[in-house]
Amino acid sequence: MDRDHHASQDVRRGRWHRGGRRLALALALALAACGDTGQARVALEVVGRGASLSTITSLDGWEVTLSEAEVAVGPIYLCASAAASADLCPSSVAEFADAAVIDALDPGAQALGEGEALSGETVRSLMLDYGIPWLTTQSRPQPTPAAPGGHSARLVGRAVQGDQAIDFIAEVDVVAVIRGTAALEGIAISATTISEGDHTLEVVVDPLRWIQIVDYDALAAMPPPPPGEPLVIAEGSTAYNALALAMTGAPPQIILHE
Amino acid sequence: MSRPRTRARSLPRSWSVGLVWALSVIAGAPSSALASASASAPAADASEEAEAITPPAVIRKVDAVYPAGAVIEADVIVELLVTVGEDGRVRAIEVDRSGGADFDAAAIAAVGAWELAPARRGDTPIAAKIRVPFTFTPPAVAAGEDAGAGEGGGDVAAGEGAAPPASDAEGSTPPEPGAGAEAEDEDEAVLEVEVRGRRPQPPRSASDLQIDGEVLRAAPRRDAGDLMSSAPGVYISRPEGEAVAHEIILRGFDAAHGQDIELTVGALPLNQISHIHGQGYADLGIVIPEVVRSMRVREGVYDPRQGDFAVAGSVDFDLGVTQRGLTLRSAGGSFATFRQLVLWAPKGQDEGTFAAATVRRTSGFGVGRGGISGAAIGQLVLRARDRTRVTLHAAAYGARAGLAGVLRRDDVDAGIVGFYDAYDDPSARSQSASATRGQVMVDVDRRGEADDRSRLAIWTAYSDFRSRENFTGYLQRSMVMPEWVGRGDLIEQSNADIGAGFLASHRTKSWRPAKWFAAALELGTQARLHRIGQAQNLLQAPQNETWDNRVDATIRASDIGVYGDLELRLGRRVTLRGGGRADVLHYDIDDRLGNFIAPYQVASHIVGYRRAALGVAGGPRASLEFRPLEWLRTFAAYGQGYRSPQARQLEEGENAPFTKVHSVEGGLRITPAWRREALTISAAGFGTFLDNDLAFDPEEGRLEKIGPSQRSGLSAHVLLRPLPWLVAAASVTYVRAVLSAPPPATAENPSPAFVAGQRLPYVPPVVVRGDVGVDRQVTTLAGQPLALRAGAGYSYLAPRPLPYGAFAAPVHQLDLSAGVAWSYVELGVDVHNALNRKIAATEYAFVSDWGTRPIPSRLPARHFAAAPPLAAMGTLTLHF
Amino acid sequence: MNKWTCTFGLVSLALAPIACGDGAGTGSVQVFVEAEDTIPEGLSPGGDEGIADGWTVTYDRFLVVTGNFRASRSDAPDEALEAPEIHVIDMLNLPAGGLVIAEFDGVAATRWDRVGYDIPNADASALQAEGLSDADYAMMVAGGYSLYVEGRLTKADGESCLRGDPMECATATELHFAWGLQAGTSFDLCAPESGDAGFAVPTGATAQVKPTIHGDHWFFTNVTQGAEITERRAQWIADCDLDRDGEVTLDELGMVSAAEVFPASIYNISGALIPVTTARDYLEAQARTLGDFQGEGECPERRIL
Repeated sequence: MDRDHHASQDVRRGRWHRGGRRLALALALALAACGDTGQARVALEVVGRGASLSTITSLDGWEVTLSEAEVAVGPIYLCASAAASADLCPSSVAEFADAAVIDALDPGAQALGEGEALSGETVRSLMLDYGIPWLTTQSRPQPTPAAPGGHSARLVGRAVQGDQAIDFIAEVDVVAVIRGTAALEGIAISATTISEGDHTLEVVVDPLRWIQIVDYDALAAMPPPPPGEPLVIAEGSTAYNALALAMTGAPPQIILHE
Repeated sequence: MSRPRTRARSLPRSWSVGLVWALSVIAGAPSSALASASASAPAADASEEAEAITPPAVIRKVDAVYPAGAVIEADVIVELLVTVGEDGRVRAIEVDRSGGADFDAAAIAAVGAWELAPARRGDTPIAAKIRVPFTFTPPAVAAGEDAGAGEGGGDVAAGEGAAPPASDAEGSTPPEPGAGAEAEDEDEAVLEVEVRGRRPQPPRSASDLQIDGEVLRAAPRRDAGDLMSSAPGVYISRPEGEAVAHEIILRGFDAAHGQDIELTVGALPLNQISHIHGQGYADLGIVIPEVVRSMRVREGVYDPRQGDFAVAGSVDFDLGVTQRGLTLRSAGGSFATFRQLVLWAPKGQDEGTFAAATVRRTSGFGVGRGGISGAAIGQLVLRARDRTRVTLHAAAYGARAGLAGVLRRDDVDAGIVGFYDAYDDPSARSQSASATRGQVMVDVDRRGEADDRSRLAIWTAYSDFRSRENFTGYLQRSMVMPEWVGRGDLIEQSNADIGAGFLASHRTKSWRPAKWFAAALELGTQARLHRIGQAQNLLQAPQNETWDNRVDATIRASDIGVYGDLELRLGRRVTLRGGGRADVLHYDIDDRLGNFIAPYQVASHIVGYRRAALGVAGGPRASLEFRPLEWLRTFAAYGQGYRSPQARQLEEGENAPFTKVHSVEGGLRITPAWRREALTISAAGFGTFLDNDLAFDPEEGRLEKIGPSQRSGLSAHVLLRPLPWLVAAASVTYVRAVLSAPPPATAENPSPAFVAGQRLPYVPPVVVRGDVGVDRQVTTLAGQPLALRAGAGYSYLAPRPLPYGAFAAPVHQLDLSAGVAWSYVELGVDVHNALNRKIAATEYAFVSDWGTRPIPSRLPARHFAAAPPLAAMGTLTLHF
Repeated sequence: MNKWTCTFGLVSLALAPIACGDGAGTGSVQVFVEAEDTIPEGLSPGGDEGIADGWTVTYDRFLVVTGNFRASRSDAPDEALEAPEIHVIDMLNLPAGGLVIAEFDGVAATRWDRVGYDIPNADASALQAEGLSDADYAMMVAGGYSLYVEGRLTKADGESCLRGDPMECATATELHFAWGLQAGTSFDLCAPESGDAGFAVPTGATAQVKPTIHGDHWFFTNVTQGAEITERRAQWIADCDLDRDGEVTLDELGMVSAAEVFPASIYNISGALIPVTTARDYLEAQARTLGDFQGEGECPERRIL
């Protein structure tokens, strides 16, 4: 990651009066202090967090507990446009150009890596992938090394209702449908102007919201798996679609702060 | 006016080529034949009159330069008595008939620099005294010479004795043949001298300089672009290979390929309107450096003759060859570079008459940089009896070269790719460019009986450009087929431009209602019409398959300008020059991809968008010159200029389409009288304000708007000629360039970050340039003079601010040249970048994806294109 | 030196007015609402711009509430153009040449880069646009709708597979829909497809600004941001006719979960303004993206009203 540092640049910003070219000329001709071009690059420490709870009640009344939840996040591009997309954000103002895995059941800060941002710019929305980007040069999406088992998320849990219990495992992939775009685009965040100095980008995933909407009644109605093995929520099934849609509809919460 | 007689003194020699002269000698005449009081009597002895006497012969003569600042309406006649010793040297000069101290001094200065062969009685050299009359005709000053975009030169003078940049002189017209003689005693032979002065134009500001051949030939020059580096505040590089125009930085402007500098060859403009690679694209490849006699650099916009693209200033190439004869030059050296030049300047003809052709071939200093180019220029100057001069000019040029493109700094730092390499990627290796150009001009210039002047120049030019460049790697998506993405952003641009234009001007004779007041008015009109076909596509390497159409347009552009320039001389000290200029710009755009319908859109119309836009750019330009002392001139100048837009970005009926520039300057010029030609110092403080600046956008491969900007700074230039064989020039320019307002909001960024006083990137704050040249006859070998020549050119750029708070490394570039000339052979060595520094010819900051990271970054990164490393060329020149 | 400074000062003072004036004049702005071609023409099957799964769409009624046009300049925040009135418009009955909803005169002839407008929910203050019937106006105001669409899906060999289940298919060659949505949304930071944001006012002439209402976004397979690179599909609507009466109602859409009719391999609902759990949510989310600008330009900042 190229970080241009200027060790001891004297950055003094003059105040210019608007209008009055003669005044501007007089001020300008005075040998002004060194200035720079603005928008210096600042470092971004990327930190992940999971949910603090591991149990939730689903919409159809099952009590669901997750025992394992690994979610890959990245790359994340934060944009000045209010609709971050490959089309409207060819150039980002902050980014985490890498992928890492978050233990979604650990609410503590997990170091994911480093990113960069441009100070002075305002972030309005972002786009991100869940560890499986589809680059312009790839004919199909390829998982990054960070993706758990090559998938965007790996969720292992147990749903209980009364005397019924379902052990399930879901390995969900959330990928872009169009080559060269991000899986999640146009995710609005409150407009934040990046100041100087290092910042932290927090990525908070809440897998409970995703598993909450799965139709467990329908899962229970499916043929049970061999004993000792969890029910695999397979790709193409309604439950899988629900999880994938939930992961796009309830993306990680991204917080940018100093 | 009667002034005290100036005493003669011995003066240093300089060399120059002779013109027509008639010669006779005052041989052995008694002192009574000479007019009034003179110091020494002729050495000739009357008793030796019997033997045949050969008068002194002029080997080389120097023009007389019309004294700066003096304006006399009538012809001024100065007659000198010149004593030529037995060794041929000028022993003494006496003023026999004075025309005033200034004119006397000018005549003395000229004659004192002449080289003469002594008079002989039989075979014996004798001393002799000869009478030399000079007639100084009032100059058709300044304005007249600048008609058009600033043509250089004017009448070619006898000598090359380069007039110092500061002077605004004109030589005298030939005296009536025989008239002078009749006025004299019969046994006085009169040396009639036809002195046609070169007319350097009077400067309008302290940054208005004429850079002459001596300085231009000091450092080694590969091409005409290198010549420009001797102008103050200029840095030249060629980041896009040998077939794409130079990138020019001038006085705080990153003028890209010419968007901010008006480049001309006389009345013929080199900037191309609305070129797809950038407005004002000017390829200097058609100008062969050996035929550039001088270069007029006008920084700032203070002359009504400066037209489109004169935002930072104007540079005019004055073509001519002072050393007559046939020249063959072969050069070969580093990187399998070979260049052959043939230059023929028929002896006895005007300096503007010549023909030259050159071919150059190189393998390039790094991967993918080989190229071949050829150029030819022919010019013919015809003079008619009634002081009409007709210049016919024709030139052609063609080049094709590969280019390596740009590299990411982080990739070079990580060792993924070498500094002088290109990415090992088919798209990166498919970059190339080719250009051709042909131009023809006829320039008729007639000077009237008084100092009025009329001029008509007509030109036509055809240019073709095609390039394939990939700056951004693999980011783009096809507009025509959106599912095509990541095929390589190899942008193919083509631009075919056929244009014609003319310049017509007339300057009235001076009106002098009073002794202290003189006025002259020049009115002129310029027009140019172009038909430009341009296209931009994306290609997939290596088969050049087109995977996207971006631009397909035909533009008919016209620019009709009218200017008026008034010159007022108030007394001896104050001159006010100024006027105004207005240009009407019209564009007819046939945008065949306008209103484009993407494939996922329902077709509701037929694709294509034709539109027309018209606008007027006008403004005043004025300069004031005040000369409090003989050797000190001070200037104040103000002007408004403009730059025409990229036509496709105009909307229907848009009428304020171009960039307006306001330019202000104050400065001074010092030319000590005691060393009139030996030292010139110019210094200026300047400010330039643009309402809409442009910067290169690599994603689009063209220039995009960045909002209003202002530049202010100081510039100083020194020209030294302490000895006739030594010339040195140095300049320092300090600039502070800032953005005045945030860049325009776009869909991608509705509120671009901006800090008041934020510096403009890529503009070096300090530019230093030094040129030193030595050319001296050292000894004689087998009867022929042996001369040594050496020169150096040094450029320094302070660290340039780059976007996002970074700074580029400083640039030190040293070029050296040395040579030995004997008889008709010269051997030389040219070394470019003698310090062998890794110089970045240009630096950018933008987003790219070359597949060198597992996950691409979308933050703008530093990219650069390498400038050549140390390159040595050996030259062999034959001159007949 | 004194004389020089004095002269220079005089010269620059004399020329300063020329230097300082920016010389811009004024012009006019005309704002008129345009319907994308899909509204009057409907959508045909096939091709990159048609319905990929073979349905033909025709609209019988397309009513929209729009207004509150606003424009300002980032370099002069105090100046603003505002037309707060909202209009209820029959998009199938626009006057020839478009419906003008606002006009401004004496506008500074420069670039106005902050442009926005609303598609709000109708209320009593809404104006009845030319071409809109009284009954339709009353219906919009009473329902507080921002959008009312009524039309048909037709397909010769069409099927309706309940909740997307291929086991539950029945022939359905024509389906009718009539939806009134309270999907009030504001659209800001409008920019044309290429070039700078907002619009430029020419001196002494009129700038024509066209908020464009699109009519096919609920057929998209993603919530587009920027260029509408997408696929159009209509089967999901057909699959929501739960009572098989040939009419797809909003209630029926609300009873189908999004996971059932939007497979993750085809659909991407990221960027929706509201959480999407049912098919109706998807319809409403897409209805909140209909505001475009100058044809295919976007107004990327969308907010719920």
